[in-house]
Amino acid sequence: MSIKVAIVPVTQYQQNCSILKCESSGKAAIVDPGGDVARILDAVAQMDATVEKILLTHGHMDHCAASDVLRAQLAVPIEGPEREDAFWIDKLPESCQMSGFPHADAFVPDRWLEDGDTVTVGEQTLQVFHCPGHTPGHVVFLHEGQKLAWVGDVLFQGSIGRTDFPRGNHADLVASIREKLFPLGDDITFIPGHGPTSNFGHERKTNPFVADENYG
Amino acid sequence: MKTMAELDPLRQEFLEQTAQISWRELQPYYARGAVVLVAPGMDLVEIAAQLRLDNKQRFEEWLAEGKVSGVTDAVAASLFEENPTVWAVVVAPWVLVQRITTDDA
Repeated sequence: MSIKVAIVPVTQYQQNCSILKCESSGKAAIVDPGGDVARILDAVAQMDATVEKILLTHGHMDHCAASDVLRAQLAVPIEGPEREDAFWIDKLPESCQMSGFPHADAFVPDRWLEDGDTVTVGEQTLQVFHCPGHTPGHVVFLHEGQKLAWVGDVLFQGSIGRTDFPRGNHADLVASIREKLFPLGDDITFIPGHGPTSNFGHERKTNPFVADENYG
Repeated sequence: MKTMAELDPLRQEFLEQTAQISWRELQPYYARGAVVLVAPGMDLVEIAAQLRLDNKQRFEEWLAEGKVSGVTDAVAASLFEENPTVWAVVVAPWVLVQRITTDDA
């Protein structure tokens, strides 16, 4: 038994919120609940899952604005991102107002994550990789058995995350992708924060921002 | 503006693919950092063609002159509020976006 995943695009940014269910225990995590709580909970019900935690890749509003509401409603902890993203979470009310998102309060996760940590979902274990660049505290989750990664806004099919934010850094982002993610294997499928899934091998060949041919 | 028959195949392709769309429908692309704003009065099809041709020097000039630009948070907030209909054309992985002016109507 392994995991089952449902992707629920949420908010006007169509951010890929995921429900990750451990099939043997029925326990689940909600990854990056940026908004649209009713749609997320509907997906959870359709999977017949019991949510035991919320996982966050980073502190941008489209990835985390519904976290605190869900934490209170489901009485579950929030794990992630890495502590350097605290300033983004603190700015949630301002960011939401500026971009036409429903109001969200700032919050403090129950557990900040670090590179090399693991998180559990039921009987499943995910590895945590600190991948700064898009935001300084961005993390990526990997389920090794299923060869599946949640990369947030680090990497997209055919593109990479923005780095024109406060404390964004293009060189750090490229290093995160090429030095931390690509060595995990060409056969790792990834769920990005926006748009379709892909795999690292395909991006190494075709992604104009991080392809092997551009880096000797 | 040149007629379709006067354009080369590359520019014809982009002209055929250029369409009007509301800003809010483009927000998922903005969230991915894929939207490039083109100043009113610029030839959107020509800019698409030069982007496809990877004319780095021309693009750097346009960037320096403010004729093409990324979308700042402040500009995105204004566009969200107003939700204008804009011209858009895809030059993967980018989406070029230009505000519609009265001259276009």
